[in-house]
Amino acid sequence: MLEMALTHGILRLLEEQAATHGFSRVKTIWLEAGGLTEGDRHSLTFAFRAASVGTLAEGAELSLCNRPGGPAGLRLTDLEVE
Amino acid sequence: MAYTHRVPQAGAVGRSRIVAVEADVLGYNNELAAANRAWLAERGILALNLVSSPGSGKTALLCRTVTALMDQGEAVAVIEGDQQTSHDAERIRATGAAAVQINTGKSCHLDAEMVGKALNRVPLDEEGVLFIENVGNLVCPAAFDLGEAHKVVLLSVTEGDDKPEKYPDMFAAASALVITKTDLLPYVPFDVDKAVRAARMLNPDLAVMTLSSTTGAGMASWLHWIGQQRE
Repeated sequence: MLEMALTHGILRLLEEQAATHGFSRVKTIWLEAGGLTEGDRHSLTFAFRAASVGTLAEGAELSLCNRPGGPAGLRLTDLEVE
Repeated sequence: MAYTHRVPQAGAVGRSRIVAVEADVLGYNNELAAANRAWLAERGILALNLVSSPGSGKTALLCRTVTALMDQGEAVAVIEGDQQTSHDAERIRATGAAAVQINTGKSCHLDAEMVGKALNRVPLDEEGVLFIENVGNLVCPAAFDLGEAHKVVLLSVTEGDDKPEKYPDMFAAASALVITKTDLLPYVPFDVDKAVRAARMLNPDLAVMTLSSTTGAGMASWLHWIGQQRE
């Protein structure tokens, strides 16, 4: 369930950013981490789809970028918003 | 929803626009962990976060450890994390040490918010030692800073000696490795040197101790290591 904690972390950041930058919908979320595997992509995408229903990010695309040698933690770099 | 490999392009795209964020997804946890660390530092409390698979002997080691430390006149307390039940807190309390149980429910790890709330309930004097027994799980707890001084990873000889290779994040995140249940070494194929080599490939600075919580062999070096962390 680490992916659920990460998903809640992402949604928390989206709510903060929405309040700061005045947007109501998120279309694309760019994320990066060192050593991302296909398993990580699958479980995070699955959890995010489940947890984002009814939020400002419902239906958003996740762009997960593997940064070899980068930090192990997941970073949210950019958003495409409306 | 699908993966996308488009790169964010500054400015507006139709009605959309790009917002640069650059934030750690677990940043909220890390802020709370920093607050826990400050709270502990103000009181001179050493906090150790014990992590391992279920059944590696975290509670057995803690029972023996808190008993030994209390015999030396040290103040100790334990925060116990489990999905369900207060069985482990009851085992700790039977030694005479204070224990606070956290039930994580569906969550597979302790986070800094849960520990922060538990800190207010821990009856621990200044300069004491606080042990945090994490949920038995060799994956998720590696990602969550609780504000502890060190993560201590346990690996029992009844597990595979290739666990450091299979679950590298935890061995990389820990400051110390305690190999437990060494009284069973004659009966199992566990290769201590192989496990230690693999762990040190990931983490060259890892302190390593081997012990049996049943016989007490090796306990002195573990207690010595705890003492060193207080200096």
